[in-house]
Amino acid sequence: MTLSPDFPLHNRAEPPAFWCRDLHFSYADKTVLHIAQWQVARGERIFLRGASGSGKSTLLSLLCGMLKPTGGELRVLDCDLAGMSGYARDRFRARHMGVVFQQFNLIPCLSVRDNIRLAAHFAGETAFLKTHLAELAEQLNLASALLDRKAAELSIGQQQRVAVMRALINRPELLLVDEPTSALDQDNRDAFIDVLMTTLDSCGATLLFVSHDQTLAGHFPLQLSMAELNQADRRSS
Amino acid sequence: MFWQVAWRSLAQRKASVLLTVAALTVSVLVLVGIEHLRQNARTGFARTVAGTDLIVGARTGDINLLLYAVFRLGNASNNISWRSYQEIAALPDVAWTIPLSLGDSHRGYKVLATNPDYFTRFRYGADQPLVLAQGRPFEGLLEVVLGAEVARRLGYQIGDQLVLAHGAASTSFTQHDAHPFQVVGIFAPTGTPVDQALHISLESMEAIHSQGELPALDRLQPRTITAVMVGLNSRIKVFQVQRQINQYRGEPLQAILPGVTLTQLWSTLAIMEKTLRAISALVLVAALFGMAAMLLASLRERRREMLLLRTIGASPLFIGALLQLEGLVMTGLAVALALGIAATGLSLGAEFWLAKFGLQISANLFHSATGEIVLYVFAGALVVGALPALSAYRISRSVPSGL
Repeated sequence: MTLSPDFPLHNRAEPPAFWCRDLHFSYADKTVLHIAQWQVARGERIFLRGASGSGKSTLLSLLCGMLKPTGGELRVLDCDLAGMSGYARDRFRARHMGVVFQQFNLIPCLSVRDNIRLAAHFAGETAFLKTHLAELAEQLNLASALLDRKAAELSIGQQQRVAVMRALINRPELLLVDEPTSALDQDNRDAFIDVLMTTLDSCGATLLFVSHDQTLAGHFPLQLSMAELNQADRRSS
Repeated sequence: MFWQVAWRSLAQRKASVLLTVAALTVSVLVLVGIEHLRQNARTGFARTVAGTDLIVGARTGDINLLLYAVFRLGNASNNISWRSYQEIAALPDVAWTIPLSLGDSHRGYKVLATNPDYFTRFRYGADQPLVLAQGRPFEGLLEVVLGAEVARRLGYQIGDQLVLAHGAASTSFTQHDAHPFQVVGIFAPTGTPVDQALHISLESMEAIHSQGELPALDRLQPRTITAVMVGLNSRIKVFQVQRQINQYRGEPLQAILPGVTLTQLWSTLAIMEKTLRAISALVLVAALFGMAAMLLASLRERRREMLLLRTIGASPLFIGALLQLEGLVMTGLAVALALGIAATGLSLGAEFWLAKFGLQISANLFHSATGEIVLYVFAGALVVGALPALSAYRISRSVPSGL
C-alpha cells in the first residue's frame, strides 16, 4: 500500500502501532463506525472514553482482526489485516495482540496455568511461558499457588489480573483493554491500574484502554473520547 | 492442550455428559452383545457335531430333527423302530451308527441312551473324539457316564448312585427309583450338549422301563430309538444313502446332512438376525442424535467461551474440531464402558448359556466383528458430531459481531 505524499502518517523508521484512514464499518445499512483519520504511535498509552453503543467494541474487533472493515484503510503493526486469510489473522492476533475484556476472560473449567498455556499454544510459542510465568505472576501480585487453581475459583480482581497475564504472555506489541475494571470495587480498581501500568513499563506494549469511567483517565497521558473519534453517530443524528 | 480443553469442558457438564454416555453405552452394548452372541451361537452349534454324514429320525422337519437329535432342543415327534435301525446299520455303504434314545431325565438334565460306539465314533469341534476325564465307559446295566457340566453342577463323583426320572421335566412324578444307577465315568468338558447329558446304554434304558425284575441282558432289546447318527464309508455316497433311507418302505424315515441343515437353520434365522441388527443400529443412531442435541444445546451457553477462544487466537476450525472431539471422547468413553460391561456380563452369564443351550459363549470380545462395530460407531459419531461441530464453526466465525 502506498501513501499519498501529502498525507505523511508516520515516518518509515518506526511504523505506528496502528493507523487508519476513512475507516468504515456498517452492519446491514447502518454505519456504526466511521473514523476519518487516526494514528497511534508505538508505546503510547491511550485512554479512550466511550459508553456502550459508541462503537468501541466494533473498533476493538476491527483492531484485533475479528471483523473486517467495510471501507477505508486500517493497518495494524504495519500489516493490512483485511488482506490476510482468516487463519493468518487468528495467528497474528495470538502473537501480536493481547485482549482483556470486562469479564469472562478465562475459561472457567481450566486452571490458571492452562488458561495461559492455551494462549501461548495459539501463538505457537511456549518457551517464554516456561521461563517467565512465575515472574509475570509476581509482577501482577498473584501468588504462585493460584496458578494451579481453577479460574472459576478466583476472585474477580484476581481473574482480571490473570487476564492481563494471559494477554501479555506472548509479549504482544498491542494491548487492547475493554472496561477491565467495571466489575471491580474502588480499591481493586486502583490496584489493577497500578499493576497494569508497572507491568507495561517492563514490556513496552502499546495500550488502548477503553472505559466509560472518567476517574481512571488520570492514569493516562493521552485521552480520547469515542464521541470525537467516531463520526458515524454525528452523521446519522 | 486440545485434549485438555475438550476434557475439561466435558467435565464441567457432568450430568448431561453422563446421560449421553449412558445412552451411547447401552446402544453399543446391545450392538456388540447381539453380534457376539450370534457369532458364538453359530460356532457353538457348528462345533457340536463333526464327522457324522447323516442323521436319521422319524419323518419331521429337517431343522426339527437336527435340533432334537443333536442339540437336544425340543422333543421328537416320533420314534423309529429297532428293526429300521438295524436295516440302516446293515446298508453296505454305512461304516458305523450311533443310535440315540432320549426321553428320560435327571434333575433337568437329559438322559441319552446309546451304544458303546458313542465313546469311539462320536466327534465334535475340529474332529475331536470324546475323552473321559475319569472312570470308564458304561458296560453293564445301570451304569451311567456323566457330562462334565452335570457332574460339576450336581457334584457327582465316580461311584455315586443316582435315580433317573421318567420324562424330561426337572420335577417328574415318576422316578425310576427301583433302579438306581451308578456313576462309572465322567467326560471331559466339550462345550457342546454332551456336557449337559447323562449317558446310559440302550439296554439300561430298556431295563428301567420294564416291569418287575430286571430281565437278562441279552433279552433287553430296545423296541424304538429316537434317532441315529450315521457314518459312511465314503462321503461321495451320502446323497445316495440319504435317498435310500428317505424311500425306506418299512416306516417313514428321514435322513439329513447336519451341515446342510445347519445352514438352513441359519438362513431361517437370518431375517430375525437382520431385524435385531437393524433395531440395535437404530438404537445407536438415536443415541448419537441425543449426543448431537446435547452438544448443540451446550453451544448456547458457550458463546462467551467461543468468543474468548477466538480472541486469544483460536481459529473457527479449532472450535469446530473441539466440538467434534468432545463427541468422540464421549463415544470413546461409551465404547470402553460397553465393552467392559459386555465382557463382565458374558463371563458372568456363561453359566446360563451353557446350562440353557449347551453353548459356550466366550468372554473374549476382541475379534473382528467387535472391531467392525466399534469402527461403525466412531464413524457414526463423526458424521452426527459434524452437526454441532459445523454449528460451532459458524457461530465462532460470526461471534465478534455480537461482542
